[in-house]
Amino acid sequence: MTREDIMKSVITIIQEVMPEKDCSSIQDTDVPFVNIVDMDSMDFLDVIMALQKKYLIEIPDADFGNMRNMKSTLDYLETKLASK
Amino acid sequence: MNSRIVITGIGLTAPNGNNLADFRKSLLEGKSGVTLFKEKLMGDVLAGVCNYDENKYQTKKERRRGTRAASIGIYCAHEAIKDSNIILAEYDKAKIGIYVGITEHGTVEAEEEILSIKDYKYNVKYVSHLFNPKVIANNPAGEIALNLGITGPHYTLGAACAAGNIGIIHGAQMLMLGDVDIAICGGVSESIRTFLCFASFKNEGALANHCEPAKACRPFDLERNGIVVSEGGCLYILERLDDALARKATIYGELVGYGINTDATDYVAPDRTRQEQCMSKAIYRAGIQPHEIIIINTHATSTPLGDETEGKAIYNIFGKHDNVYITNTKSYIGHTMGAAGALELAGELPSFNDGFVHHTLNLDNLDTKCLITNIVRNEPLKLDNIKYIMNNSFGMLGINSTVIIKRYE
Repeated sequence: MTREDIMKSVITIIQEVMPEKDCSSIQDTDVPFVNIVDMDSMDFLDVIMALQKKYLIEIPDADFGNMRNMKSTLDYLETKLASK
Repeated sequence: MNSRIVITGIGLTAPNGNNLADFRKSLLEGKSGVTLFKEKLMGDVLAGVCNYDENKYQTKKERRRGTRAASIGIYCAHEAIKDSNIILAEYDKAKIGIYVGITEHGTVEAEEEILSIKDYKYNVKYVSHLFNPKVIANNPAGEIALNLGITGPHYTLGAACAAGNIGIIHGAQMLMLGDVDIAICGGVSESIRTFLCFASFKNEGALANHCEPAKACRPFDLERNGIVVSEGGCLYILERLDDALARKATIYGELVGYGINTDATDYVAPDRTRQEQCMSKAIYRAGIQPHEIIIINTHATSTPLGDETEGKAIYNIFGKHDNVYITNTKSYIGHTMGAAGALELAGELPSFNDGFVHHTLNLDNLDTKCLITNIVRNEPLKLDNIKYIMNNSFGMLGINSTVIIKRYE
């Protein structure tokens, strides 16, 4: 699974959580999701849950800080999935 | 009653109409809302399904976070407010109350959540953080308050299938107490979204079965064989008469009588004597004689025992009731559970203006054991001077409710 594949999945999940927003412009950068799609804490938890279910992984609370933008999210997921 | 309470707005969604005008038209035209519905575990079942626009008053995100019951409630509340012509911005939001009758709440959401973690070997780390706000008993009322920014009291009234009437009664009582200036009240149901509801009725031998969906719900007919489970909602705007007159509101009718009581005899089987007492209580409170009631909208759900019990209870109060006309709305839409009382009453209220009593569908062979002698069948009946409408709603654990509405003049 490539970084690009993971990014597509993350965007799909965010789009499902935030159907009124256009999530297609989210790039592999360190711009916080909240600045791009106005994600609130409930949305954020939904995204985390959806990622856990999709990849059958556990994302502990302590790691939530890695999930605030696309770049760090992908870094985190790549490492996590590689170690599965 | 210390204050006179009137209905000044109605918002509804029924399996055969998403506003009062369309709903009434369906009733007068004999249009059923019962259809085949794909239930996730049971396959095709008979049900009344609503098709209102979920995103008319809610964003997709809000809908995803909330429940179907609340979505129905939000739709009905907005429609009722629009219908009443009240301008929310002109009111103290703390003086508006939301009182929503429910048969049950949380079963749909609990079932969905449990099924959603089935593929994860029931690992509870996959339980959604949104589960608790969805299943709390006040959810349908609370989401309405959240959506409308109303800061007065909001809660649900769990009263089985009597809940729609009881929502209305409670709203009126809160207005009489002066606790609120506007009551948004009635009932909602999302029960078709849970297989448990269908399965439980089926295993009780109380679920309707018929090869033609529109003919499945047949109250008082010899061939009736059970309930058609439906979803729906109906919320009213109630006000004190003086307030309604001051703003020149259109008044649908005045709540003049009501009764609530309990059988205390069985979990599911109804009790004729207590139903009689409930109706008598409402008639006494209205200060009228039984023969002054022109329309009785029956609770009858199309079960053998329930219909017979209510029919006999009505007979014992009204006798052969030559000038009292019986009708039934479930024959069109099935049993909308927590919404039933409120929704079925709404279907009758236009009678004050159009002079028609809608007929009961599927009444091919009247079951004489029900002792119903003056039921409107085959086609609507035109009458003069309809002054009082009585609406019955009864539920499990023996909860009974009756509401009497008087034409406002």
